[in-house]
Amino acid sequence: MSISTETIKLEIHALDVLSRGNSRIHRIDARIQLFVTVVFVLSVMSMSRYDIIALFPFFIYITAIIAIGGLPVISLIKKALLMSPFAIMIGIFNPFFDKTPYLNVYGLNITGGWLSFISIILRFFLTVEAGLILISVTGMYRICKALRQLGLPEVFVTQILFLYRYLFVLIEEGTGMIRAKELRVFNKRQNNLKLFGRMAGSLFLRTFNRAQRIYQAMVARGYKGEIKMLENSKINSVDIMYGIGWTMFFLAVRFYNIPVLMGSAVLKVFQ
Amino acid sequence: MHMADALISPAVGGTMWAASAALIGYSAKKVREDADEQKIPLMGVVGAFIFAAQMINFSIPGTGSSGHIGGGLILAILLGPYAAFLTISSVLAVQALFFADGGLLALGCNIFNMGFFPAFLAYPFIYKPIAGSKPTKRSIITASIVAAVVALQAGAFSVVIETFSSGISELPFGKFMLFMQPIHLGIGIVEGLATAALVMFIWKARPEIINAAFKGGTFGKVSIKKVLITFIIMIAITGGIFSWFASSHPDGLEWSIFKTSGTGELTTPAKGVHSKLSVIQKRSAFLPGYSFKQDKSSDISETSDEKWPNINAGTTVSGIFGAALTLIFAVLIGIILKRRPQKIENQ
Repeated sequence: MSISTETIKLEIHALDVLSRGNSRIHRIDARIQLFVTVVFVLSVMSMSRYDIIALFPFFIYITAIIAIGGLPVISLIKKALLMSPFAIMIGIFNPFFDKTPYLNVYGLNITGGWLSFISIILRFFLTVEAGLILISVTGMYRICKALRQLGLPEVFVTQILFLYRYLFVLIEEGTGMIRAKELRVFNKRQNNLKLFGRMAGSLFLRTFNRAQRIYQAMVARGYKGEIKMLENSKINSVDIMYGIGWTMFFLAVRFYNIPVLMGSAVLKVFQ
Repeated sequence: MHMADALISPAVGGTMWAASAALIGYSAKKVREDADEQKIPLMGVVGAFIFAAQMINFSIPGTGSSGHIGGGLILAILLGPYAAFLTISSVLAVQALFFADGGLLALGCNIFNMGFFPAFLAYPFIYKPIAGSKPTKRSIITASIVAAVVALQAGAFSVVIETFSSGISELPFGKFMLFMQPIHLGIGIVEGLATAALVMFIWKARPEIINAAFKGGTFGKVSIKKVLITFIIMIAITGGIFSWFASSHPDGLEWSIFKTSGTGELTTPAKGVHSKLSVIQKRSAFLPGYSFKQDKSSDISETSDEKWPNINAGTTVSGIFGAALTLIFAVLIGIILKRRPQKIENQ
C-alpha cells in the first residue's frame, strides 16, 4: 500500500487545484456537502447485500456532481481502481461460501455469493467516488473549517491543517534523501534496517527542528494555540435545498427499487 | 489493514466512529490540558513525516521483499499516546480523503484499529515497561517488537470482528482470523524491527525527545482506566442505539411504505409492483446481514416460501430494462450538466 512519491505529489496537487474551482457545486457550503456525502454513503451501505440493480440510481449523484463540478472522470475512476484490490480480495470469497441459488435467469442459476460480490464492488466504487468527489469540490481547508464548525476539537483540526500544509515539504525532503542515497549505492535499491533507521531518523530530526522553527515563527506572529479561519461561510437557502433534495433522492433510492419500478412501468405502457 | 466502506455495515461504522470520535475528543482535551501549544504544529508536521517515512523502503530480513512502516507505534514513542492518537487519526483521514485508502464510513474503524491499539494499549502497557526510562539497544528492540506485534494482532483481530459483524463478507469468522493473524504476526515483527531502528537512531541523537514523550502527558494509571471505561460505555450506548434503530425504526418505515403502495393505485397487476415491493421490503433489512448467519438462512427459507427464486421472465426483463434506463439516465444527466472541464494548471 505504499504510495509512490510522484503519485502523492500529483494526486494531492490535482485535487487541490480542483477544489479551487468555482462551479455551482463548489459554492455549496462544505457542511452541507459533508452531510450529503455521509447520507449517500450510509444509504449505499445499508442496501440489501444482494442488491445490484437497485444501486444504479446512486450513480446519478456521482455523474451529476462530476459533470457540474467539471471534475476529471478518468482520473477519478483510476483512483478507485488503484485501491480496489482489497475490496476485491475480501469480496471474492463470497461466491465460494454462499452458493445458494438466488436467481434463475433463463435456466442459468446465479448464486447469492456472486450477487453479493458484484454488489460489494459496486458499493466500493460508489463510496470511494463519493469521498473523492467531496474533497474535489471542497478542498482540505474548507473541509477542516466545516469539521470545526461541526464541533470537532480545535486541536485536532489545526493539526490536520498542519499535516496537510507540510505534506508537500516533507515529501520533497524525503525524496531528496532517497535520491541522494540512490546516487551513491548504484543498483542496490533496497535499504537494510540499519540504513532505514538512519535515513528515517535524520528525516525525523529535520522534521522536529522544522516544527520548532515553525512554532517560533508562529508565536512571533501572535499564535495562541489556534489558527484563525475566515468565518464568512453561511448556509443559505440554496445550500439547504441542495441538502434536502439529495437526501430525499437517496432515501427514495434506498427504499424503492427505482429501476425495477421504472422498467415495469415502461413495459406496461408498451403492452 | 485499511478497511473499505464497501465491507462494513452502517451499524458497525457508526459505532466505531462514535468510539473513535470520543477518543479524539478525549485526546484533544488531554493535549490542551498539557498546555503544550508547541505540540500542535509538531504533531501536524510529524504526521506529514509519517507519509515521507513511508516512502523509505527497507528490505525485510530473510525475504526478498521490501516493506515500509505503518507508523502508529513510532508516533506513540515520539509524541506520547494522546498526541500520537490524534496524529494517526489525521494521517488516516488524509489517506482516506485523498487516496481513497479506507473509506469515510470506515474511517472510524481504521482510526480505532490502527490508532487505539498502538497508542493506548501497546505503548503504555508494553513498550514503556519493557524499554524503561533508560533504554538500552536490547530493551528498545525487544520492546518495539513485542509492542508492534501486540498492536497489529489486536488491530487485525479487530478488523476480523468488524468485518464479521458487518456481515457483508461471507468469510467465516475462523477462516478469516486464521488468514489475518499470521500475516500480521509477520508484519508486526517487521514493523517492530523498523521502529526499533528508528528509535535507536533518535535515542542516540536526541534522547530528550523520547524522554519527553515518556514522562509527559501525565499518563497515570487512573487516566488510562478512565479512557477504557469511557470507551466501553460509549460502545455499549452506541451499539445499543444503533441496534435499536436498526431493528425497530426502519421496519416501521418500510411497513408504511408497503402499506401505502399496497393500497394505492399500484394494486392492479398483482404480480407486478406490489409483489415486487413486498419482496423488496423483505429483502431490504436496513442493515444488511446485520442479522448474522443463521438469520440469513432463515431469510432464504422464508423467501423461498414466497417463491422468490421463481422470478418470472417478465419481472427479470423489467428489472434489466429499468437498470439500463437508469444508467442511460445517469449518463444523460452527466452530459447535460457537463460544463467545460477546468484546466489544471501546471506549476
